[in-house]
Amino acid sequence: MKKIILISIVFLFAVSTYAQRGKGRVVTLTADTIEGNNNVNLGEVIVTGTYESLFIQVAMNRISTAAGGTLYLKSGIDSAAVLVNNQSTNPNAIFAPNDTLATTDVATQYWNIEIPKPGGKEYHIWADGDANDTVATVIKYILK
Amino acid sequence: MANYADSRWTAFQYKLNELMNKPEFKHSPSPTLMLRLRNTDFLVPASEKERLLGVKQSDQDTVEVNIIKKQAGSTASARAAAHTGSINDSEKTTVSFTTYTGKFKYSIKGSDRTIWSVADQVSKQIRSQAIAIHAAIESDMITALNTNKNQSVISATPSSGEWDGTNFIFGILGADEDLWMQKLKGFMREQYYEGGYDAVVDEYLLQKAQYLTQQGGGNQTNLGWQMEGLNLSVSQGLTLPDSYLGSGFIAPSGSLGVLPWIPELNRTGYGSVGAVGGRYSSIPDPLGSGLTFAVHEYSTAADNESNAGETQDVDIQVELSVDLGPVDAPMSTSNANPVNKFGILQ
Repeated sequence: MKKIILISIVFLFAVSTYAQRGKGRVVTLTADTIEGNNNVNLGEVIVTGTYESLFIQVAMNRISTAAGGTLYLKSGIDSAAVLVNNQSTNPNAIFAPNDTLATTDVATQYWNIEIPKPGGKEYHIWADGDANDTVATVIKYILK
Repeated sequence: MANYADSRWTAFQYKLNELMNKPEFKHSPSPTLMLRLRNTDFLVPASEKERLLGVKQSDQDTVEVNIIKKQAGSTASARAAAHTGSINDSEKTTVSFTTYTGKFKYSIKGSDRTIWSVADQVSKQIRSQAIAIHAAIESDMITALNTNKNQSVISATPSSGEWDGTNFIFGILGADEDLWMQKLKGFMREQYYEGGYDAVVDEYLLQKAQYLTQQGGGNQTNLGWQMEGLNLSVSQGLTLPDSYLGSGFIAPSGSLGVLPWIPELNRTGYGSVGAVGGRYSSIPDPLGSGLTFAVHEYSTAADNESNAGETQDVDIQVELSVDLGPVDAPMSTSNANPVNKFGILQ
């Protein structure tokens, strides 16, 4: 029997409660904190589509009196196998101001990273904390 | 006062027509409820009692639905004279009914000192409570979709995308975004479903579908064919999982339903507002869902001179209510459900 083909869209509207994502949208990841001499994975960006660029901004706000620690960009195909990116392993990546970021003892600091044509699936911002530091971090990214 | 200051017109009172009232009373269209309300006649009575009395008689009654389970395979590669098999089994689940109520009060002298008639006031109060009831129902139904979603797939590495076995989400790759409907139907086919499908999606997916199906007018590539057999409803109440561009829930058409119920006294009608116990009646849902709301009203004497009414007034207390028992097609496999959560990975 010939199947009835249902082609319809129900257009309905109500209060928006979900975050917008997609090309050109700024996405904010859940805030995290670098605390003491610990390693922490501050945030992850998963990319399975085709994009011209991935831009990541890490904002660091000092909470303790002596901020410290170093931030790294890691990338890979799956979460367990992400490796540190730097200029020698990935010369196409654009980092600002450096390929890793040693936090300094200032109230607020930013690290901007631009990755042309992101080819990996997972991009992580990873931190190696220093003793006595407490730094609140907020990661935002945009895919274009 | 000089210059007739005491006797000047100072304010002119108007009411607004229905179009101007609409923004105040805008509301969620309850897409999940509407999807389930397409399927309310799926029960097959097990005996004359169920056929005659209907889904249930009282708040206290329990409703059970039964299926015969698919028997485990018992295959062999040779015939035998003394082959032995096993008896099959059935499974029973209890339908969980939730009561949704909304209440308000008006007074019979409430219109004496305002520009609003009692009918003006009550009609907007009924509508307001209906909107609140719908919001509560929709919120519960979306939560239930997520709680009860399928956790059991044929293959944890589907050809059509990625299966997140932790959060139980089928992920369509971002690179396949323009083919998201085909990949989604492919995933359902991989679960041995044959379609058509009902889906509740977020705004991102709906807009993407609108674009993809407007070949010629909106884009130069004909991608509209992939929507065949897919019936989309959009909900603004879905929570987008991390790393996804858009998300939704999909189920084979006819596998989700709901059993609406109100007490018999409301269905048949009883009493009067001024009598002990009040009046029991029913009204159709003013938002047009097709539901019938039970109505209970009773009156009390009140001095309302400071509450928009007058002294020696009569308050009418009104309650709207409806019971809903959502039913997903039962499956004997542990954690299996016809509802599958999906999304497009960014």
